[in-house]
Amino acid sequence: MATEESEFTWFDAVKDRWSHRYERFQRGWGRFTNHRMGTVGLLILVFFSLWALFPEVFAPHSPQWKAYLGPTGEGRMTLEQVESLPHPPAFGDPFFAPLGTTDGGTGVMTLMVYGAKTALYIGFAAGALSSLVGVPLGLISGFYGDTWIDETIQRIADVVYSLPFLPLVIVLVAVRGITTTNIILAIVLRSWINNCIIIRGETLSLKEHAYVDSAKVAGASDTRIVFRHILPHVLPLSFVYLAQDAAFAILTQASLAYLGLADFTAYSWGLMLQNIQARGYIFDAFWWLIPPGLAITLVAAAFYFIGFSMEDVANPQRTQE
Amino acid sequence: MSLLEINDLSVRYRIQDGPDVRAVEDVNFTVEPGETFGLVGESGCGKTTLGKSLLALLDDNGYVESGEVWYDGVLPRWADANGEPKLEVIESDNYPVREDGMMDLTELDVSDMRQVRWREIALIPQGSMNALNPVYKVGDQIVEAIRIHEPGTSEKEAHNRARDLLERVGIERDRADDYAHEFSGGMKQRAVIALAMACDPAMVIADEPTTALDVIIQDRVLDAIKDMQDEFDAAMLIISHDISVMSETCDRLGVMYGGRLMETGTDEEIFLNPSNPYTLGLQNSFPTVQEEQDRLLSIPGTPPDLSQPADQCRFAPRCPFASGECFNDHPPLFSVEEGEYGRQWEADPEESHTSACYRVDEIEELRNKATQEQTWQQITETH
Amino acid sequence: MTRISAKYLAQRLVVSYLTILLIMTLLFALVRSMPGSFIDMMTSPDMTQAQVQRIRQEWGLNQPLWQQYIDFMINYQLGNFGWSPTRIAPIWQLIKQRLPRTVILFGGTYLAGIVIGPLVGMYLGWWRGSKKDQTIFTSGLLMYSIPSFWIAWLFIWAFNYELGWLPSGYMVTQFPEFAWTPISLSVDILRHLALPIISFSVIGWVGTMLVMRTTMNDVVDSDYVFLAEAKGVSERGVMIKHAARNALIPVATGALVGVVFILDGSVVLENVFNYPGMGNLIVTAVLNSDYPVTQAVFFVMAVLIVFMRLLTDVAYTYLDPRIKFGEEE
Repeated sequence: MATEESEFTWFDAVKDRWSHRYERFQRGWGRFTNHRMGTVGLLILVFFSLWALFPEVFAPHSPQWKAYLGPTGEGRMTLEQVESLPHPPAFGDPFFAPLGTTDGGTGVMTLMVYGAKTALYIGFAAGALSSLVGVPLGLISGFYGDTWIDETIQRIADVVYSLPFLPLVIVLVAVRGITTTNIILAIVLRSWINNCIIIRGETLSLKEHAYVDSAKVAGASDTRIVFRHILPHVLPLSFVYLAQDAAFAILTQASLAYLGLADFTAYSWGLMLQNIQARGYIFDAFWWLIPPGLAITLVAAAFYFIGFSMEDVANPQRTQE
Repeated sequence: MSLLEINDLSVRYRIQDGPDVRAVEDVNFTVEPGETFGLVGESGCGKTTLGKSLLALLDDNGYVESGEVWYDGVLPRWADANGEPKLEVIESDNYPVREDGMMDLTELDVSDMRQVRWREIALIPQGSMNALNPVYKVGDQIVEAIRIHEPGTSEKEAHNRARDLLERVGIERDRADDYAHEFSGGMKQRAVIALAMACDPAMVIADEPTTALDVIIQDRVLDAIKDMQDEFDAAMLIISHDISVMSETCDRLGVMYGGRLMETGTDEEIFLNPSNPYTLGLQNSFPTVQEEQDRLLSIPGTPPDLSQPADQCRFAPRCPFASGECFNDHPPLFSVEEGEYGRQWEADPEESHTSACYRVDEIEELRNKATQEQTWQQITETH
Repeated sequence: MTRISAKYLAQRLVVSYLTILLIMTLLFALVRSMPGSFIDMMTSPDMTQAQVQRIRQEWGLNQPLWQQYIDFMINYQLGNFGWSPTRIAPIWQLIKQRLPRTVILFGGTYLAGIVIGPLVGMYLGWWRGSKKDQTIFTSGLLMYSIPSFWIAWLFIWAFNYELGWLPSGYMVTQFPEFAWTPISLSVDILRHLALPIISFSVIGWVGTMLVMRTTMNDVVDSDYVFLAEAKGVSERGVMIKHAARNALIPVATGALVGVVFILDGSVVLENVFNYPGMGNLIVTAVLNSDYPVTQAVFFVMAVLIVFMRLLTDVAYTYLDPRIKFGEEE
């Protein structure tokens, strides 16, 4: 592309290149918001992200607060007070706990707000890490099909797909220690393959497209082809799977927590559920039981909503409205 | 009585943001029993839409906006012992049947239309190579058609008939037990033709039967079509953009452009005396073996936007002969033969050679000009 | 109609076998890499060196690693899983008892998933884009997001705690006051299976539904569906006979993923319902650092999955006539 006029500045060149992408993004965004489901998902995530980022703002108390005892949690309760726990929602008298308290006197609402961070963190981290590992390997494997790289990845996939997931995660976590990081690593260890295989598939079919051939003829190097031509088409799909991985990670962590393998040092909704079970109040304290389960469902669902809406954006199908 | 009589048919597509696309507008023609009618035109001119609309096979966003499609046939439940429509059906207003017994296909609901499909009119779709279901045996798919429309037929008899049909298109009987992927491209096409004749329809619509085939296979397929037509005495509506195919196989032709019929006539009439500027343009762009030609002239410009067609002759923007009237309204089909009052006489439905052009009376002159290159090049300058 | 050649079957068996060997190796490495706690668990600080040595001898830990590996590989293939430090019975016996139980539980849920999922997916794919599709699809995703143990608790609360209709634990009524007859036993087991299967089915059907919906949508635009419609086939006929039948093919792979998914589910749910199956076994084993049992159960689960994969491959040849003898189109 010869630049004829001297007025064609560098700035114009950048604008030129990016205006396409911006337009595409706008169109994609328009299609996305057309999907109510995806928008709802996004709103849910934004909502819980606020909780995660500014817990002090949204929680009615600090985590140290205890019913009857106040913000520091120091002191002792009378026998009556102890027996009234877990306490159903109370709005001022004798204390303020919109979702009631646990059997130890901690506010449920407070725990919910502070637990948001863990859920979102696990979701985003597991999702992102799976993609970060899986997508490049998928690209390479797909692009250089029929080489040892591809073969190895196929073999690995064969084996990994034959392994049970939760038992594996359980064993890994039990072995290496129960920290949030280990949980994430264990999940990613299993789920990156999925991203890899999917992206590999996409790359394989995209590879056959004419524009790849023409790029090769024009002398483009392999990396250039991969990044300039294939990656943009593959990216939307990878986000779809990122979202699904995130949702799955959150649910897995909840299951791990239930089984007693939660990170006890962090607040999490899964841990709340483990506690209610351990202390035996499942059927007696619905204000303690419902919110964490509901929140897990909503956040996981939000990720699924977003993921599947993006799938529609990436591969527009028949829409009748 | 004609077999198929299409009156002022208009078909449109609803789209998400914008007015409905007028894919077919005010089309009129007839097809006689046993005759081969060719609908020719470039991509997007509405010919496929027209074909599909006859059997209500449009996409979900397509609909018939106005017009009628009269067909000489009768639904089984309306028929008396002779196969004619019962008297009460003709006389009552509740049925879309008129006095001469023809029924209006556009008024049928889907379940009734299913009885017209295949049994009366079969449609061989575009890309019929993929039209066979990959998970069922080829023979079984023919049997399915037979048993839907002739439910009394026994399995054994249906299978027999299926094999007979395959034999007739040049495929061995035993192949009925094979799956589609075991057939070659040409074989698949012929199998679909056999399938089309399974219920002995009065008419077959073939949508682009030869596209995407190499010339030798094209030949075989066209032969197969012709043979079947002769044997079953079926009328045929061939839809294609390939004019050379049309000239071989069709008795009569209709030239479509921008959703409208520009010219109709017999094979001879259209090829020897093309009487519409669009047809003249088309002729130039196809090489013939007979004449010597210096160059192939293409028609400059692009087809019109059918979502907001202007009130003018659809071809006017690209027509080297457009003037005055041509920009006011799309012309009706005029008779090309000399009428009593000169050529500008609106055609009866029985007129053979018709053309939608306000300047049809000057057509000889225009024909000459059309062979010259500069005529066509002027368009880009004046429009 | 045997479309599977013996050669193909043999091929797949060999590959499956090799995969299992590979898995076993990984398993061995994983378990052995656990920091020494195997010994720690069975010994206590106040044991003498001699006692520790004797224990190590019993468990074959004095041998060089490669020897242990060979022994492990051979033993496991012979079904000799050794003994558990926390339980009396030999491990294979535990597994023999529990495997069928898990299979019943898992099988029930799997069947529900295989039937309901594709059925709903078929309709959703057919209606794709309409309001019906959107609502049901969104609801499905929502259900897919529910933690399995949580919904199980809710079900238990409703049907056991409040209404007392269905039992909430174990496989069989504990300490019955009557004698079992085959029928009363079966009924009792079914009653006990009801809540676990129902709870998990709420979640389990979505996986196959998602795949079917996508494949159905792809198929619906194809030429052969158009032709079926043009032939005059009824709407149901086109949807089921022509579209769904083709869309079902890729769902087989989705069903395989479902196997792993449901196995995971049974791990959790057996815990919730105190159901004496394999999932329960492995969890207690892990929490008790009982590595021999963990290893064995893991192995059996992997074999189960590989076996299901084999079945799926075979099923494919029946589903898709284009696949013969293992060659894909």
